[in-house]
Amino acid sequence: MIELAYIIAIALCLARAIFGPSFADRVVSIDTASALLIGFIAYMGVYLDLSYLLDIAFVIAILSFIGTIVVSLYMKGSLK
Amino acid sequence: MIVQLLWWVSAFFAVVGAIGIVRFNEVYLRVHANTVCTVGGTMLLLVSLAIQTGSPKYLLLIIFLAITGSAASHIIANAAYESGVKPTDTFKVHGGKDV
Repeated sequence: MIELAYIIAIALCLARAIFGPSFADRVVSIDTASALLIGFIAYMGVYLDLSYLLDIAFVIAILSFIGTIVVSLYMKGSLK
Repeated sequence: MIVQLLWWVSAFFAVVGAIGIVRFNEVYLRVHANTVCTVGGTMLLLVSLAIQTGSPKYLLLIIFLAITGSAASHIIANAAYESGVKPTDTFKVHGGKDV
């Protein structure tokens, strides 16, 4: 049941990322969806008894942080 | 027992934050909903998983999310302000500066 709630939350965030009016709305929505995806993957690692899914959650955390920083700098205009 | 209670509370915060992402009407309010999803949803779920399994790697992921989540929220709001997204009248009501 917990994973169903997380799937619904990620789907709502991705819907806002598709229909978002401005560019910054999409950045916030994708960052929120990736943060929820980290918790979802860590939970499925315990639920399915696969311990390597936590390492995948670490990699997604690092990559989403770097992606958010780079896209924000591009939106700001300081990335030539 | 307490682990399953923390699971339901984190699922509640995740769904409420996602509804806030959909329903709010500007970027600066969506950054607030982003923090609700990160702290109330993901970090609370990781605390419950750390209690259940007893592994210290979950605490390392919690510390990493606490550092990078605040930095990402700040740089998104700063970039939206610098790129010309104007705050609506919500800030004027609560004493913010006129833009």
